[in-house]
Amino acid sequence: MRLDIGIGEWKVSSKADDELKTYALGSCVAVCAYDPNQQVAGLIHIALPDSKVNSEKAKKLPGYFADTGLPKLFEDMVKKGAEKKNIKVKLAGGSSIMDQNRHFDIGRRNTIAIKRYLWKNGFGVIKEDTGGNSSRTVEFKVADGAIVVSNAGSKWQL
Amino acid sequence: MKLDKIMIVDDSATSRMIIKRCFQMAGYQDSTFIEAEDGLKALSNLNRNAVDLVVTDLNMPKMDGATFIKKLRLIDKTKQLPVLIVSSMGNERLELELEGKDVMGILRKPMTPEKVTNVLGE
Amino acid sequence: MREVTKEQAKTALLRATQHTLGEMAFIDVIEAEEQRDFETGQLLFIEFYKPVRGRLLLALPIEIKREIVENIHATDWDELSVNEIDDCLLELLNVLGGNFLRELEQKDVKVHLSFPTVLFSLEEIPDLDSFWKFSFDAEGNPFTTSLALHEEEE
Repeated sequence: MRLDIGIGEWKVSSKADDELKTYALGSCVAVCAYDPNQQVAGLIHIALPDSKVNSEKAKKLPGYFADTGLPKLFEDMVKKGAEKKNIKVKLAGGSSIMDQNRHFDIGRRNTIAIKRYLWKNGFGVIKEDTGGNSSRTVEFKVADGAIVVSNAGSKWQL
Repeated sequence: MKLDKIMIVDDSATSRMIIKRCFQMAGYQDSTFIEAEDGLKALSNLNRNAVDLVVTDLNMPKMDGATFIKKLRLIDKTKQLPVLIVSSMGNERLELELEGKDVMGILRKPMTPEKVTNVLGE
Repeated sequence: MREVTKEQAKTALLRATQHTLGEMAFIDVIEAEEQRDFETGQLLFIEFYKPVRGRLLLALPIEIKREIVENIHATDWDELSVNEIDDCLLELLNVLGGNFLRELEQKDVKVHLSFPTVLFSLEEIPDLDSFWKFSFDAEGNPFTTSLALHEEEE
């Protein structure tokens, strides 16, 4: 079954015929986490690095922010049987888009905030396709962890 | 690639910690890591312990990485030992200098789990 | 030696700082919009000899110093020894120095750097006036990098 994931949402599955999919990432980042031994996959569509900017929103939609969303993703993966030490992470998205004041690059700041959380919690990013200007769509197969990234013109394996 | 024992040679304890974590995060969480702070200590350690891979920095006091690799290649036991360089000074010319000494790759610091995956596969 | 303009040096330094702090300490760096004063919590210094000769000085407020070390070590400040903290910052400067020279040359080059050191006072650098000073911003906290490039000796 195909499970679609919107902005600020996350889904976890251990069903081999499931596929996790998220669309039009822009400066948002899809964090794809996988335990190959237990075949547990999780995908979260993160929009902003830090929940401090809007703690009300973080309560309603924790997946919107890296710092509140990532703990939820890994919590749910462990509930489905994933072992923390076997989880591998891949990132896609984080296109270069400036914030409203044209001060910093939101995509880059998202990517860095996500890596900071991951490193501090013992998860490593083993592949990433971030930055640039394209709007990416991600398909993530639970059976083997294969990830296909696509934009308007092309498709590639991550 | 199966790697039971990995030796990390770097004069900075921080750098050794980073390299070790990157390997653990990239799938080598069950490997044993042996650390040495320069080429001289690494050679004497390799005399006693067999390892499957040596990861070494280049710019180190006492014995630098290039000399260390040259010495490794003169010893029967370590002649064929896979070596990976992780340095802040990786470059093409260096690659030429080290050619024929069987170096798996030269990775530029900062080290990341992705760089481990790029060289050793997923 | 080819002439390096202040603008070229700034661009190379900004890119190298972004790359090093982003990938190693997970902190996003941008050029500061204005120069802001801060109390220096750490001075770090490195010299380089190839492909150009020069000196690089990094001045960090305590907030950034702490965040860098905590992020790299993935642990709390109180858990770390003075040696671990110093070694961590020196390794960061070593990596920054190598990346700066590569950015400056726009290609892979053979670099030769001194071992980085901790300075206790700016007075240890008598000709500080000859350095270019660049102000950067690390996710809201200001810090500076200062750079002096020298003529090649005959």
